[in-house]
Amino acid sequence: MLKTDENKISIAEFFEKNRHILGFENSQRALLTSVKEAVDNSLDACESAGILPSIRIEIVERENHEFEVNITDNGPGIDKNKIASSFGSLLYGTKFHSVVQARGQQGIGISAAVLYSQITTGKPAKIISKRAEDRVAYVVKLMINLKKNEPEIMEKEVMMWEHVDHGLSITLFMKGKYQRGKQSIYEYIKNTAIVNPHITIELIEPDKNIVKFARVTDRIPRLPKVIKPYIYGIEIGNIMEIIKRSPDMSVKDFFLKNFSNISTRIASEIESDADVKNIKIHALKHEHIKRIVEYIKKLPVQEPTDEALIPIEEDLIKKGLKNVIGALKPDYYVSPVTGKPKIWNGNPFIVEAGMVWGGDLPADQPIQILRYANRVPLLFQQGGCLITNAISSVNWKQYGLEQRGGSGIPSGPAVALVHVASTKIPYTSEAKEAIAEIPEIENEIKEVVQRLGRRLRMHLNKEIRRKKIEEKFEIINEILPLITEKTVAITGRPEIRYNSIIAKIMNVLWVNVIKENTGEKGKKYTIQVTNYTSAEQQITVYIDCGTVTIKSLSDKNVVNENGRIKWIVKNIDSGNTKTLSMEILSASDDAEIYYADVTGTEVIGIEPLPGDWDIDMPVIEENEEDSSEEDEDEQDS
Amino acid sequence: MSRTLKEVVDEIYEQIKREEIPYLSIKARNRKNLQINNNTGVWNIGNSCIKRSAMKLNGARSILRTLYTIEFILNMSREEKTSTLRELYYISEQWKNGKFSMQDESNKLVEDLEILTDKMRENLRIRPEENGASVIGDLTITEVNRKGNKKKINCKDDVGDGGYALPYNVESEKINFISTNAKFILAIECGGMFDRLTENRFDEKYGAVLVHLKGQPARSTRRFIKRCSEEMNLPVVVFTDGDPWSFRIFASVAYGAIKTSHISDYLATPSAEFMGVTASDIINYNLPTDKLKGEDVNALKAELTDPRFNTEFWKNEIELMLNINKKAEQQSLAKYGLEFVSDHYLPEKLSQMSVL
Repeated sequence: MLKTDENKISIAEFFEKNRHILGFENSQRALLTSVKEAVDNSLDACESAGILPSIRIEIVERENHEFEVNITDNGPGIDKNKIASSFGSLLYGTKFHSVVQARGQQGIGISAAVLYSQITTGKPAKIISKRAEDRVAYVVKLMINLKKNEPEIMEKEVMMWEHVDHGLSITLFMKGKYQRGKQSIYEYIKNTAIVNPHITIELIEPDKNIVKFARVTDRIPRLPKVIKPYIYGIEIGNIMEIIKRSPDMSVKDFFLKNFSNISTRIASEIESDADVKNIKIHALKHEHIKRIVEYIKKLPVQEPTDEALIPIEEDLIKKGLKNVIGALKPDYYVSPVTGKPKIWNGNPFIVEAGMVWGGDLPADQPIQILRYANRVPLLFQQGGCLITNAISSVNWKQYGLEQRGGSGIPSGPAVALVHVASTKIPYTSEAKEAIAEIPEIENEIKEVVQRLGRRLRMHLNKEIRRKKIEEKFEIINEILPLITEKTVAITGRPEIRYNSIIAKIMNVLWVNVIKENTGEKGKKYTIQVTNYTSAEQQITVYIDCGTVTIKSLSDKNVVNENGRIKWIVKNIDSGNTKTLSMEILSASDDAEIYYADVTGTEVIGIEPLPGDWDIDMPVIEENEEDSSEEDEDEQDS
Repeated sequence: MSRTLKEVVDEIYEQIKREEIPYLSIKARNRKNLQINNNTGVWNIGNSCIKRSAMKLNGARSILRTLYTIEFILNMSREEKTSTLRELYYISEQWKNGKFSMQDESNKLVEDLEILTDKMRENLRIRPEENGASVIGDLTITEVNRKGNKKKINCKDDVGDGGYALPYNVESEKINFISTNAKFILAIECGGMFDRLTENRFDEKYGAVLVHLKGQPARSTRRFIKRCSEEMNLPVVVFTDGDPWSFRIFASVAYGAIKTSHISDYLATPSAEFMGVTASDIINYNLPTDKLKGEDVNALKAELTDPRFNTEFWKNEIELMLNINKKAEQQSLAKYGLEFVSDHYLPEKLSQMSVL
């Protein structure tokens, strides 16, 4: 970890020593880290100002491996007097001690990029900023004074920024190496677009190739509330640190003032249990704090509110995945799962996960894992990350993925996305590459991805059933007629009928639903019930169309109860089909069709009536079929 | 109970007529369904059957393929034609849902028809494109050539270094054994070793008929060895690599292969003896080795449950190989020079077996 006294040593020396933990260990990485720091800052700034972010990154290669990197956003801009300190200070940013979910958690990032540029090319960073309230844009060229550890403004001017109401632009000149593939700027942009479906981001690569992901929602994530930490899971060190920053006061007041969601009763209890009623906090000894922590450990688990956390939320995870991975034409988007807020070490966190299955994804390789912390993609140190470990410790075979030896990254045509949002992400290092081992977070990730796994399994089971049905139809519609035909031809004996064998092979009632659109909101449903068994059968079909006007019905044995249609079909002889045609005007989505009152045989084609039909709208929790399935324009990646 | 092809189809006709889901019942070819004939010492197919039913897609396809194949064979017999296994596979392109997706499927189906009808595939007008082995040694035979003439061939004097190449048909209408001065047949797994022994003139020095097995031997090779051994009264000695797969090569020569267990009587030479390379040879001759791979170990373990290997000799050899965890190739004997195999190893081993 960085220590404050390290500011006393030469800043250049400090940077040289810590290049690896800051993400500048090689020239390829340096380019990526610089872009990433700038983009993370832009997104944070736009969201806190309620602006839908549009970001443009342009990378131009000059001679001698020198790159000109420009990142321009439509953010709120910054005060002209704060430009220098925002981009030229290697001290901690102000965000460091506050408990709030943000991308750029440690404030060192962008200034390190400025420093790296200056060291490798000797050229200053150029920043253009315009706020909505300013009439002109301010242009600042700055470097970092290595002796004083201070920003030094080289040039300052004003300009008219054509067609720009507000925004910020930074240009850096640095030595670098531009590459595509894993751990590249392209990958970072792509992965950022997945979990930030509200942004438009454009990358112009050195060969002028343009990569663009356009926003698929106008919903800006709500702003996280700044909150105080929770006492649950807090350690001695955390308390000592907060005491250091706090004026002297009683223990009870200290807890009431510095922690979230703590009652006077609990604060008093903490005080009396440790027997420190008459000791003020600055006089507390180590063993006092130890007793306090032990007492806190005995308190029941707190459930944090989610006001400090901004999950991406299930429907937007799906939209983001579709927007970016859609080109691979996956067969199935597993409905994403967002967990409940939990606490680690006093910090609230929330885990979300999504998954994509099939299509052009490679089936014989380990699944791709997209890791995110506070909406920022983690591209490095996959093996050393808690997210990877949690996924690896789940038994995926039960959910339909391959996994040798029952642990490790599973294989199969899938991409798994895991997002950890927290007021504080426990990174393994300053470079923010991987999440450290925290049991509370690991358990929650496991739980969330297991829920995801169960949903995948449900889907795969459905696929298996569908395949089985297809196979049966191939037998009865194609193979059995051919077998009979060939048998008759070879033997030269009289024609025979095979119809009664069909029922024996199928042995099901088959409900076939055909849907046609008639005009704008009109739909025509044809429901055919075929008895593929040897005995007579009956069935009741339930159709829920939401609020509808029924234009026509072909069968009189139909009861209509507030848009819920009940079709009673009796005496279906073996091999026979009964049909209901129905034209409706419906504003809502597709009709839901279920069956009941079938005895002694299996039904294929539709699902059984859920138990809560009479109570409420039928909701099948683990079986949801996509409310957000509307067709969106797929973006080419 | 042998049936004609048409009777097989008649049965399916009757099933449909009786409103039964069509099925075929065929004797199973697997390790568990092997039965030894104590009179001959050959392992034959047992009586347990598998049922292919049109209830399942694979079964339905298999029945349809059988029908198409039977129709194809009946048409060929009307037109007096024959077809190779590979041609059969390609012919199925026109068979709609009965099309084969791999040649292995059509090969197996032909074997099924052999079982159902108790006939050899040649009698069903299907022949292999697999070519038989090469033979070198003082053995005189006659072969009926393409012109229909019986041609006399001495497999030592009338052939080049490649030896006499066996045709796919080695039955008496094609090949007859006339005379030999050889004392035994040496069946050799690899081409390299066959060439080595030819170059070292092992056949002349020790009176051997060398037969190159070419890995897992073709039917014609096994049939040739059986006929030659019986008709010329020559003992058969099998010389292979020292690994689990080679043990199976020996088993298919001597006891009968699982895949052709329905015609073992026809192909197996139960008097054939395994000479090496044994696991004991690996130790005694201190041969260069490779470590057993996972699949090797699995194959050895499977052999421990294979009834054909249920003898004192094989149990010891298999367990020894598992213990030393090593395998060796025939040609590893070259460690001691190119003549070692013909001047030392073979004479030693063959005297131990009292063949020499």
